[in-house]
Amino acid sequence: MNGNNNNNRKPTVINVGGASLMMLFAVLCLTVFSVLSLVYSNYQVKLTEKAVLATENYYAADTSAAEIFEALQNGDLSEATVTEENGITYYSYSVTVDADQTLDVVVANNGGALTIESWKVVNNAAEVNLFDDDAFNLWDGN
Amino acid sequence: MKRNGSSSLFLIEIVLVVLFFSICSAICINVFAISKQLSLNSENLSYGVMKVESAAECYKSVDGNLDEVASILTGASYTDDGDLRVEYDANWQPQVLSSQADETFYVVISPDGTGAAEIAVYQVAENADEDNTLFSITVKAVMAS
Repeated sequence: MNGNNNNNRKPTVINVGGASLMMLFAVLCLTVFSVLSLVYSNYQVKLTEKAVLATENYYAADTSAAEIFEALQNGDLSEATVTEENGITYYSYSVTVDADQTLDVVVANNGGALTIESWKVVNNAAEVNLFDDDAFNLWDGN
Repeated sequence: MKRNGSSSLFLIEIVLVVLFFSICSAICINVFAISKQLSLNSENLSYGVMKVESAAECYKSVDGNLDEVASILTGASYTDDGDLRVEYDANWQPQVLSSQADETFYVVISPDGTGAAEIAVYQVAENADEDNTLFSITVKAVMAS
């Protein structure tokens, strides 16, 4: 009888049952959601960094434009383009904000008093006319 | 015998399941905490940028007059250096009465006497070290002649 027991003895194996499957499912869910939250947080960080950079660039350009305006008030016209229209002298200058934007300023000199006619950010990126036939490379069937 | 054998197999399985689950959950919870901290930092930075922009536009609109800026910005008060300071709590609400226990962020407007001013937002350090600068810009008021 003891010999039969020795012959029928099977090696110990790791059993994969319901508990293991549930654990796998739980770990899978945890992993997916943790990665998802990390990716979203990373996206938020990058978006905020872009906003910070845009704000810094704008106010740096704004400060430069204000300094040029102050120079105009002191009679220094080296940074501005002078034009005349209807008896009013206009000073125009641009300050670069970033690769695609400039801050364009137009100042009017009306009898010695300088007034700001225009102070705006202009986007100079290459425009894409969406209504052109070649705007999108669409398949025409050929 | 057979029943004891199957019980020991189940016990081994459970032990391995719990061990593996605890390791994986510890890693995942750590990732959750990191993402939460990243999200909180970017949120605070976004609010800080907005408050600095608001202060900058206010400063420019009154041609750099700090008294008028103080009257416009809620909770603004002068520091000993002559700068203007606005304090905020953890939810970015302005603190009308200065309270060190509630103050978490503050914006400082420091004019340099030439019409320009440095406007910065700081986060109060928890360990009384130097406060952390979140964002800073320099603005210049345009004074029309």
